Amino acid sequence: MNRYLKNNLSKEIQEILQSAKVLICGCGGLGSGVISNLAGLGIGTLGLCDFDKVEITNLNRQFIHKYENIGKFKTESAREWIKSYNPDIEVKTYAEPAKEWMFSEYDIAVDCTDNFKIKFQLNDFALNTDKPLVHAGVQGEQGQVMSIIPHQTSCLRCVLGDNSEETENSGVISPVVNTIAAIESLEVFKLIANKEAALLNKVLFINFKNYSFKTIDFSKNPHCIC
Amino acid sequence: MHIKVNGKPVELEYEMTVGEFVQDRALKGMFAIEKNLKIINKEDYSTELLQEGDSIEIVGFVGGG
Repeated sequence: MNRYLKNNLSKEIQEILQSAKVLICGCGGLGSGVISNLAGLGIGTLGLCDFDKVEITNLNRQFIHKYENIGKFKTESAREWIKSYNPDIEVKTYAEPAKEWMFSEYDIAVDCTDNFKIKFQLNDFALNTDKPLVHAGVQGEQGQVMSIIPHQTSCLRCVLGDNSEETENSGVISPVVNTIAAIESLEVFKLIANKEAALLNKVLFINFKNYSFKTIDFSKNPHCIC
Repeated sequence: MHIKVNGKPVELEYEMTVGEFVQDRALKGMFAIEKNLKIINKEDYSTELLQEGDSIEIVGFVGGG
């Protein structure tokens, strides 16, 4: 337990973290930050889901992936990093698109994917399996984070309706994506340790251009399928 | 009619619904609209009227990761 001494958490909370299972959907920009933060916290089991391979263009921001791992599945590259950092963490990898059954095997899922089509899919998997989901998106100098407890708090469809129009996705610098990933990780921590989160029924929008942090309330939409 | 959009004063030529406002400004992509600090559900865009002095926030969502 010395490893986690500086988490400054009670023994009970640290044990809860160690027994928790978190599914990380996407091991790219957001995923890399979430993986390293959750490994540092001492989450006992991490599921890693991504069908992409490491490319050189990932290395500006995805610090867990090494140059020598270019061409390997990101899930395997991420497993290597986790095991070298903290061999006590159990790691399961899925080098394929996220599926609903995967959610059933975890306590919480984290949306670290890079398009709205999949983000909506993950939202629906969370609803169908009744598993909490932490959503985030990031692009350029903007990002947003929200947490969802299915059937209790607003979901992505409550907020955005049913259209999943794709938005620009041309890139992001590491401090931006890693800040959003850190907030996602903090929401996962709050959900596991306290059974609540700061961003339920609300979305945090960050504009890094002027460091504007704005939280907007989104109550459950009575027209939503959730 | 005068309203505020993302903090800036905007003059509308005629009274319109949130839906007409979205069309008028050709808003696309993933966004939500907050009117006077309350989010307007998309299902209500066609009936929610904008009135003098209203404050509108267009909140854009991004999908990258």
